[in-house]
Amino acid sequence: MDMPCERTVNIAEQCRWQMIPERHFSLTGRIIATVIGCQLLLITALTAAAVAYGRAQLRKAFDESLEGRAISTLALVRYSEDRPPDLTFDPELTPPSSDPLHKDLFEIRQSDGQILAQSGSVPSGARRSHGNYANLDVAGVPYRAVTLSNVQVLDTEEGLKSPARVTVVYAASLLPVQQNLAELGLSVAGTSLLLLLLASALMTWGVRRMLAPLRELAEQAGAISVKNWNFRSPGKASLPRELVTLTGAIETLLKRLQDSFRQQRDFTSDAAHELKTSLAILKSALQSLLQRPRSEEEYHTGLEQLLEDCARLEDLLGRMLRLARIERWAETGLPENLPATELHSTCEAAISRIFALAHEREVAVELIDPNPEPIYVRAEPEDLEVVWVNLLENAVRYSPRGSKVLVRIQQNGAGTTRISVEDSGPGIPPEDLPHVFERFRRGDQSRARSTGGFGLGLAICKAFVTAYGGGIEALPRPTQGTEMRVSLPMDSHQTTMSSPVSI
Amino acid sequence: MRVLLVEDEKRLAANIARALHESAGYAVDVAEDGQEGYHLASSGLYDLIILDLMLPKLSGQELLTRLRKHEHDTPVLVLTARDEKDSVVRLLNSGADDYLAKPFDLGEFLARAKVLVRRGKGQRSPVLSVADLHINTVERAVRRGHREVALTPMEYRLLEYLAHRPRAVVSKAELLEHLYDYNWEKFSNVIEVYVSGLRRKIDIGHSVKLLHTVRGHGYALRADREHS
Repeated sequence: MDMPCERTVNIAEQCRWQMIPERHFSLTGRIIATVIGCQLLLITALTAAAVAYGRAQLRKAFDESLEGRAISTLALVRYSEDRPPDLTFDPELTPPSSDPLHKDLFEIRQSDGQILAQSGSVPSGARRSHGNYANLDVAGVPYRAVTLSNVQVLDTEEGLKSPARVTVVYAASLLPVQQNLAELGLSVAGTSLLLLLLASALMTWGVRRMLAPLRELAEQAGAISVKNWNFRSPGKASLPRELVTLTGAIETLLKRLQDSFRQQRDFTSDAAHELKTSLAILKSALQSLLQRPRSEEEYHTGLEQLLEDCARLEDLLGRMLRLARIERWAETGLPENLPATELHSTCEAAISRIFALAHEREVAVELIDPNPEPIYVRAEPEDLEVVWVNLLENAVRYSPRGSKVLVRIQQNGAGTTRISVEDSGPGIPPEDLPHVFERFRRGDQSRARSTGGFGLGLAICKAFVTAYGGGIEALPRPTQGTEMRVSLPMDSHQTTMSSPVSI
Repeated sequence: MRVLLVEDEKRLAANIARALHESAGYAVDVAEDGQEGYHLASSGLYDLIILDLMLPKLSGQELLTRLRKHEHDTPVLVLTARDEKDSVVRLLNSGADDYLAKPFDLGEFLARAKVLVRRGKGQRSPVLSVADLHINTVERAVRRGHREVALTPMEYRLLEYLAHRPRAVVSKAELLEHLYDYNWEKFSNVIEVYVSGLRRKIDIGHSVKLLHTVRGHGYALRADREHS
């Protein structure tokens, strides 16, 4: 009796083992990695944008200040006090370099090309047309130069017909700008990374917390075994919406599993019970026969009874095996090529098989088949016969002496046929009606036992009828007794099969 | 001794009853469902109740619980085809004295049944002794002093019943109730016939008489001379 339990445990164990060796990704890890990846991308873009914007702004400011320096240098060009059209330059007042390490360079040329003043040597490529900038490389240091060409000297001298003009080329080191830019980039990137770290920590905590119900769910589900069917879903109210459906599904699945497991276990246990009882009868009969010397006649009756007991055991085994065979159909599906079986003849065969019992009980069995044409059903004829015999056996056993059991074949329309077996026995109590088709039903055992059944007959009927796509129900008859009503789908080729007969 | 057998499986009940009758000399009544079983059991007539668990109308478990609730202390031996631990524990806890799992060995069953009957009468040893009279309940052999005494089955039953209650006065009615099952017709003078036969076999030739008639009350098995 322990066998099925152990087998199920092993299966559960196997599943567990199959799950462990495979490496699985962590949902928390994935979520965090995805979010951090996105954020990194964002930070890079942000830093790049910040640097580009800063560069443009700094360049603009640098260019403006460069032009300002050039103009302020221009402001130092004055007319000579002695010879007015001539020009002088006052180097004392040159503005300080923007980069203390790399001096500003400038040169001022007069309109005839003569250099009026200069600081350092301005590379010849620095000169451009008026107001234009050039990028230079002076001894490895980046410089930017502006050219103010042919501009009027700002110092005004009265009496001069035309004011003197000069060209100023002014260059300054770009290094401070570049440094500023680098600092800007670093600070933006640094701040963002710091924030990212903080966010990641928060998110790890958050995601873990959010996934906690999932872990709890898994633990609960993992604790389920054949010995413990309890599934306490972690507090429904606190569950996220997504998990509520999952929990529901698990609960339903478990319920179904448990039901089928219990049914299986009950069946095994009931079957064992029946077998043990039958064996107990055989064993006690043999032992009591052997307890002391008996007369030949005593031995003879004893052995005859033993033979009867064996037949009973055989019958029980046959019924159990038959039930097991139909159960297999539920998994593998109905066998193909089922013959089209004519109903009327199977009913007649069943009635003839029950005749002896009916005769002994003084119960008449009548077949009522008003259908003008034979009705065919896709089924093994022996199986149908078993169903009718089981139903008839019940009906005859519970019928009072001298009463009649009716078998009615009706066409139900919509392609089904109805076969009813009606008795006028004491009837089944309404509270037992839903249970009559259960195996080894325990509702009222005196009915099954004292009449020689095992509580398997109706269960077999139901299993067969269901397997063949039909239904069976037990109904109280309006006057007295019980009607067992079977409905079966008629063979779809019925018309083509019966037409040659009618022609 | 009179035993009530509550078992709905007719063939099994017949086998058990036959064995009890043939090998232990017990009178056996059979009840085929729980309700009848409870009804008979609560009459208090029985020295042992043998109870199947799966019974129609009233389960063996329920029968047992009810019986003990109403303070009937007849020993109960349970027969069960289910030997799961928890159901055995439940059985013993609700007042069963012993249990046997089907299919059981008839010899073991008889031995256990005898133990329970003995214990129900406050005896431990399978040999009941009154003075120099020894009754071996296992072999159903009787000795007075060193001499074997051959008894008919009915005489033995009578003696064993009296020996289980040494010194007590047992009424004729009680003897009738405990030595016969419902299938026997009862005539009160039957007891007198057996008592006189028994007395002839165990007391004649001995100075100490053991089987005493207490006029108007019944019989007693004891080793004194006062009422002889």
